[in-house]
Amino acid sequence: MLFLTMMSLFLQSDTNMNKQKIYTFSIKPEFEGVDKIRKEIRTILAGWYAKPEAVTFINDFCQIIGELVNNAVEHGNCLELNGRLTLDAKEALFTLSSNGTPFDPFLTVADMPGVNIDGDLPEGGFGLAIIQMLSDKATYEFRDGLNIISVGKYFTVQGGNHGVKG
Amino acid sequence: MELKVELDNNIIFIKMTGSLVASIVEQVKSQIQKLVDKKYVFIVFDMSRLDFVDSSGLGLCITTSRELATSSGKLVCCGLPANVQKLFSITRADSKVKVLETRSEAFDFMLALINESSADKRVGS
Repeated sequence: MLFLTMMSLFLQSDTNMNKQKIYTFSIKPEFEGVDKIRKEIRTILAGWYAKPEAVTFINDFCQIIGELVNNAVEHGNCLELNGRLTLDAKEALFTLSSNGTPFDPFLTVADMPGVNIDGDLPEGGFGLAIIQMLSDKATYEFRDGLNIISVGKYFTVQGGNHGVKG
Repeated sequence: MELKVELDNNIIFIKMTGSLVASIVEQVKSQIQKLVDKKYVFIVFDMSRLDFVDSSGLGLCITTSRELATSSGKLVCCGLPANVQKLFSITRADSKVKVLETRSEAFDFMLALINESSADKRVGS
């Protein structure tokens, strides 16, 4: 068990019976919190998928998380954000829950920039488009007053780091 | 995030280091506005030392490009790291913002543009 406390980021990790590494985060809904969580997750992924071929996977996954948390901070009107990162050899899954305004990012049409070059993009258009394009799977539910969004990405290079750290 | 601003032949180079993200976009926007107010409308974002750009950073590039164009200026982004290049490509932002590989290419491009613009003004007068 690892406990790490930062100014606005609380991180905890554990390993389950399926050899999955699970990290939980709690951050204040501020943009500074988004930067911290993204950097923290990048470090974790680099340790877990410790292969040079994993660079693109890590970049893409961090991009997804950055956009997802940004979106919740900017538009969610929430008081707290909780994240859960689950890693195994085949995929990375990030679940974000917030007590803000119900908003299903996957039902929202992400107007692709470039289609109308001179037009203004809808608010959140870029971020949602990026999430939709880079993630392999996603779910959304609104339960007990919480927006719960999960996004996953498959790690196609064989073998993550099975040697559990932390 | 660090910004270093250099002036060379009436071209402004803004060298960015770190992450161009939502938390600092307003700060960068305000810096650019000050430059535009002083009539510097040929601006190069040197992104070679950026490790991450999010959708807000991308939005800043597009907005700046559009605003400079209305002032008869130009924005060039150069030195994009692979992850940033991918972001520009998948969102098709590279069709809205001029992207060049190196700072030296950006300099040559801007210089040609400035000379062309000066020649047009001479012909017009």
